[in-house]
Formats: sequence, C-alpha cells, structure tokens
Amino acid sequence: MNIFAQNSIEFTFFWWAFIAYSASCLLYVAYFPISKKWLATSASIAMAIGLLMQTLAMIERTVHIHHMPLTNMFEYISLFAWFATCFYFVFLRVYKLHLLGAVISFTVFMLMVAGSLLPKDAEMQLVPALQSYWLQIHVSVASLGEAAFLVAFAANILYFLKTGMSKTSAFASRLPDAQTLDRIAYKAITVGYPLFTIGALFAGAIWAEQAWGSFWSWDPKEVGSLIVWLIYSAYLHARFVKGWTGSRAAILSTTAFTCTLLTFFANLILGGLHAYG
Amino acid sequence: MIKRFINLLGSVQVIVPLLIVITVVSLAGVIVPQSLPTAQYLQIMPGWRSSIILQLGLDHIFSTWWFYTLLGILAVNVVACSLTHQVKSLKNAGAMRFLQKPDDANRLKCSVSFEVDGAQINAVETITGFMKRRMFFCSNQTKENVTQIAARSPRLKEIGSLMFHLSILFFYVGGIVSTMGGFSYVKELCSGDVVGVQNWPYRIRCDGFKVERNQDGAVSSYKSNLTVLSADSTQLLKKVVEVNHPLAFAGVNFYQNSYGEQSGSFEVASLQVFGPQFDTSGYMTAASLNTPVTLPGNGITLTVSRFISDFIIDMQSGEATSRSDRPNNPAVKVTLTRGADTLYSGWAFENYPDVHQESKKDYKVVFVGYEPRYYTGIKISHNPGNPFIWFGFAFMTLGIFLVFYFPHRNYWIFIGQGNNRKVIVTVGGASSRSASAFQAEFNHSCDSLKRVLKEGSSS
Ligand code: HEM
Repeated sequence: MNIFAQNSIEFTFFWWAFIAYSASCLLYVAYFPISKKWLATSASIAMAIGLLMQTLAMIERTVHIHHMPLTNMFEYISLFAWFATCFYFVFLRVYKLHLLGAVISFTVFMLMVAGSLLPKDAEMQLVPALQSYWLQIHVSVASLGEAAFLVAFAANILYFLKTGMSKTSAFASRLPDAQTLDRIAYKAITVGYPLFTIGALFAGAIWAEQAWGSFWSWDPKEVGSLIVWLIYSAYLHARFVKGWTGSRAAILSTTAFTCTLLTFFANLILGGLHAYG
Repeated sequence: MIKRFINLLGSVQVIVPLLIVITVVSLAGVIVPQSLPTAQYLQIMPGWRSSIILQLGLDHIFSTWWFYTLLGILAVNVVACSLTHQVKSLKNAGAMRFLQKPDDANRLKCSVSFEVDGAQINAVETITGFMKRRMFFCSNQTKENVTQIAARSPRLKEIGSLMFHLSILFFYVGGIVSTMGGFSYVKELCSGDVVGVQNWPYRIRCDGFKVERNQDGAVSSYKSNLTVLSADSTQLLKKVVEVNHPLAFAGVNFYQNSYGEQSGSFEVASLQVFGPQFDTSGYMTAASLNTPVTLPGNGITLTVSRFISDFIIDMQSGEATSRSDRPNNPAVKVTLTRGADTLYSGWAFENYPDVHQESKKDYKVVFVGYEPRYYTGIKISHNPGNPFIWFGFAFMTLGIFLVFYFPHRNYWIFIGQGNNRKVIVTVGGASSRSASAFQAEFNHSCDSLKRVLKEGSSS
C-alpha cells in the first residue's frame, strides 16, 4: 500500500510524524542494549521532528475542518500522542534519563500505530452534542492528564526492570535506583491526577449536564474514568500506608494506566453515550 | 468488637483496600451490560451465570443496596479520616518546632552555612522580615547566644487536603438531594403546546421547533423556542433551547433532548396534479393541511384534509388509520373541487405513486413528498442537589491544587555572632516534597537571603 496515497497535506504530515516516531523508537530499541550517547541524541531529534510534523498535521486539520480536531478516536489518539511527546521533552529535561524517554517513545509509537489503523476522516458536521466548549476542555485536559500518566507508566516499567534484575547486570546499573524511579512516577502522577480529575471527571460531568441534563449517568466510559481515578487515588494513599509502598504501589499505578488505556479505547469496544468515535 | 470496627472505619489502612473493592465492583458494572431486560441476560449468558447476575443485582450494580453501602462506608471513612488524621496533620503543621543546635540544621538534606558582615541583632531582624515577606510564619528563641528563627509556610497543603476530602461529601449530598427531591422526564411538545410542571408555579409553551441542516443535508442543530409563562399567562422569558444550551428558570431546567416527526401533521406537501387542463407532466403544487389551494385555470381548488404517517386500512371498521408513529407509509387525503362539484377525492401515497383511489378518472394526484412537522423532546428536570455538586467541583479543584502544588515548608535559621563583626548564618530546610524537589527552591531562597543580608550590612 502506498502510504502517501491520501491526497491531503495533513496526511502527509501525519505519516512523516509516524515515520519520525518510528525512527525514534527504533533508535531507542538499539539504545537499550548499546549504551551510546549518539543513539539517544538521534532518537530525541527524531522525536522533535515527529512532534513538529504532528503539530503541522493538527494545525492543517483544524484549518480544514473549522473546529478543534477533538471529536473522533483518531483525533483523540493523535492528541494523546502529541501531549505524551511534549511530556517526553519536559521529563527528559528535568531528569536527563534517556531510558525513560525510550519507554515513552515506544508507547507513543504504539499510539501512532493504533491511530494509523483508525478511520481518519474528519467530521465536517459535528452532531449538536459535540458542539460545546466544555467538550473541548474535557477532551484536551483529560488527555493531557493521561499523557502524564503515560510518563508514570514508563517510570514504573523501569522500576520493575530495576527491581526485577540482578543488581550487577549491566542494564540495571544504567538505571537510577528504584527510589528515584518511584519518585519520577509519583511526580508524573501528581501532574496527571489533578488534570485528570478536572478534565475527565469534572469537565466531562459539566458537559454531560449541559448536553443531556445530568452530571453522571453511569455510562461505561464514565465508570471507566471513575475506575482510573479510584486506582490512582488508591496509589496516592498507598504511598503513606504501611505495606503498600514500593512494588505494590507500582503495580497499582500500572494497573491504573492499563485501565486508562482501556477507558480511552472504550468507544471502540463498549458504546454508550460516548459511542461517537 | 464494635469499637474495633469503628476504629477500622476511621483508619488510613482501610482506604486502599476499600478503593480497590469499589473499583472491582465498578469494573463488574462495565463488563456486565447494565439494565437490559431479564430475558436478554438469560439469552446471552445461559445457566448459572445469568442467575448469579440477576440474584446479586449485577444487572443494575449502580443502584443496588450493597453498592450504596460501599459508598456509604467510603463516606464514613472520609469523614472519620478528615476529623482525625487530616485535622491532626493540620495542627502539626501549625506547630512551631525548634531544632536543638545548628548542627541539626546542617544535617538536613537541604542546608547551607555562610558568614556576612554585620551585627547579630540586625541580621535576626532582616531575616525575620525577609521570611515574613514571603508569607512565612516565624518565631525565634535564643540559646547560648545563638538565635534560632523557626519559619513555616502557611498550611495550604493541609487545608487543601481537608478541603479535598470533605468536598467528596458534597457530591454525596448533591446526589442524595437530587434523588430525593428532584425529578427528570422527557416531554414531547408540538408547536403551541403549553405544559405545567409539578409544583412549579409557571408553565412552559413551545413556540416552534426547527431542524437545521448544512448543504449536505446533515443535521447541524435542532432548536426549540420555549417561553416561560406565569400563572396568569404573562410571558416571563423566551429562549431558544438547543443541545448544550438548556433553559434554566426558577429551579427547573429544560434541555433539548430529542425530536421526531408528528404523526398526524406536516409542514407542506408537494403534490403533482394531472388533469385535462394540465400538460402531460402535470402541475406541481405545495399545500398545507386543511388550507385550500387554487390551481390555475377554471377555478379548481385543492385541499389536503388528512395526513397519515403509516397508512393502513383497519380491517374491521374499514377506516384509514395509522399503524405507528413512524413515517413508514405516509399518505395524504386530497380533494379537488370546482364550485360545489367534487372532481377528485382520494388517498395518495408517497411510497406508492402508482396506487390511486380515485373517484373520477379525469384527475390524478401524486404525493411527491413532504416536509415533516416535528415534535420536540424536551427533558424537564429539577435537580435541587446541583448547587452542592457545583460547590464540590469548585472546592475539590481548589483543594487538589493546594495539595499538590503548595507543599509545606520549614526553615530553621541559626544566627550567631562570629569574630570580626561577622554573623554566622546556618539554614536548614525541609518540605513535604522530596528533598531533591525542594533543593532548587531552597537554594534560591538562601541566595536571596544572602543578598538581602549583604545589602542590609552595607547600608
Ligand atoms: C475517594 C476517596 C479519597 C480520595 C480521592 C482521596 C484523595 C487523596 C489525595 C489526592 C491525597 C493527596 C496525596 C498526596 O499528597 O500525595 C490524599 C491524602 C490523604 N488522604 Fe485521601 N482520599 C480519599 C479518601 C481518604 C480516606 C477515606 C482517608 C482516611 C482513611 C484518607 C486519608 C488521607 C490522608 C491521611 C492523606 C494525607 C494528607 C496529607 O498528606 O496531608 N483519604 N487523599
């Protein structure tokens, strides 16, 4: 299949972003066993190119459809990957930990694969329920929060690698100690949790109230977000309750991120009020 | 035993398991489809699985007594915790604690020691002023000629935590109040309808409904014109209600919920009339219900006297009636008259243009199409709990930011008089954040402090 077959400029940008992210991911895959600085640097440059291309694709789409591209699954995934890449740069700058960047890059790549498989047609005419600025706040702030959770997830993966490997292994020695990884995960969650609470739960509820006349209707995707929120709340408490720190907290937060993804993709699986994707 | 149970309810140990249990139950509510008819459960999950589901109420988890009980336990837990742990940590954070000696400050992860010119007494004053300007609460004590200033930040994190946890209760209260004292239902209104709402001293009138489409025919919006009337029918408020733009008046909200075609009426019908005075392609005309239209030439008048959206002849009575409200078989009864003569009278069908029930062979009418007249589905609801929910949003949002972004900070600053008119300053700092996260802020504060002290001594 000729991947440039779509005739719009937007899709050209999208596929360039896709290629750049794939390149970054491949470079990082090499960086895992081969500790060479230039691999990591090139991977970062590829991420930057990917981010730029994706930004252009999103701008092009917004101009083309005359509303924010926040109304179908492809657009959500694209935004999610975009935010995750932004966080990639923020966390790379703060913690200078390329192995963390590697896991984020891989996850972003997976999101792009998922996005590339979905129908990419833009909704030229939004159904009336979606014509709401609360929806835009809801979708963008929620996925910003979820992107921060993605960073925490990456830190957790490294945490499991660190604690699961023998101390003397060459790879484990390149990782910071488990406590630092735990702290990075916590930090990312303290960024994600407020955003998710306000974006996914509050803005979502306010939008539902305006569009359907009730804040909450136990719709599957709503319950999914509640579950995500409950597990991250449990995680935040786990940190100061005896017997729940360390690995158990990391398991909680990994479970929470898995639920985040399941909820995110729930439109495709479940239906309900959110079944527009 | 009971005491132990009460203690357990109020303990921090319970919260993680409790949140996990509620999570698992909610998960079941996502996996098991909710609120289907019983027969459907029996069909998709035969045998013991469906009987477990129905016995436990897994088909309507979020309204079972045991789910409410879990939420109740959580509420009790939150209140108990707020009154014990949270209040305690608020008190703790407010206490001024001193360290024993400068070495204790040096041993903290964030610490620094330096000398500046000047007198001890001036330095104490300058530093206290400096910390107070930064909104810190200070108090000092002097031991063995060394003055220690203990400074703590305002207790924003702790207040935020208390706000956050208590705001959970606002959602409970809001939900309970709305469930007990509120209502919500959908009412189908046609243009001109006036309806009352229980216990509400006003009435609402529908002045019209419109479906708007874009060039491609896709629905872009649908809007109802609603007017609030007082008991004596004065107009109090007019508003165009559409999806995402409800009308709120005196505690009752009106939402644009749905719309559909009215079964007995339409806006305009397009009809094609064939007859001796028209050419072979007939004459196209538009007509509304019961409104006679005069056709060109020899004074023929056309009247549409009935509209049926799903036409059927009732077998017993032989009358034309509608089988359903859906436009499955739209039909109009058309009459052509000239003076007192009826030239034609019969039903014409949109879906069957070749079927005619004509009374006189000279004339023929084809029902080409029609623009439907819609009813609008308005959701009328009264949720007296909503103010609590809004308050909960605001309170929780504020609380959450205070908890995460306003960590508690303590500084201990020892000021001793050294030789050569030098002051020895030792600063130690601690925060509810990790030491490494606090380090940057600590360094920054100490640098500013040094600068302020130097400026103070040189002036
Ligand atoms: C749905 C229920 C709850 C949610 C969403 C929730 C959320 C939170 C959050 C976000 C924090 C801040 C964590 C941090 O600073 O890292 C926190 C702290 C805390 N929570 Fe909860 N909580 C809940 C219920 C409870 C309950 C039932 C208790 C008591 C058993 C409790 C006790 C505490 C305590 C003691 C803290 C530490 C406060 C501090 O650091 O000053 N929480 N909670």
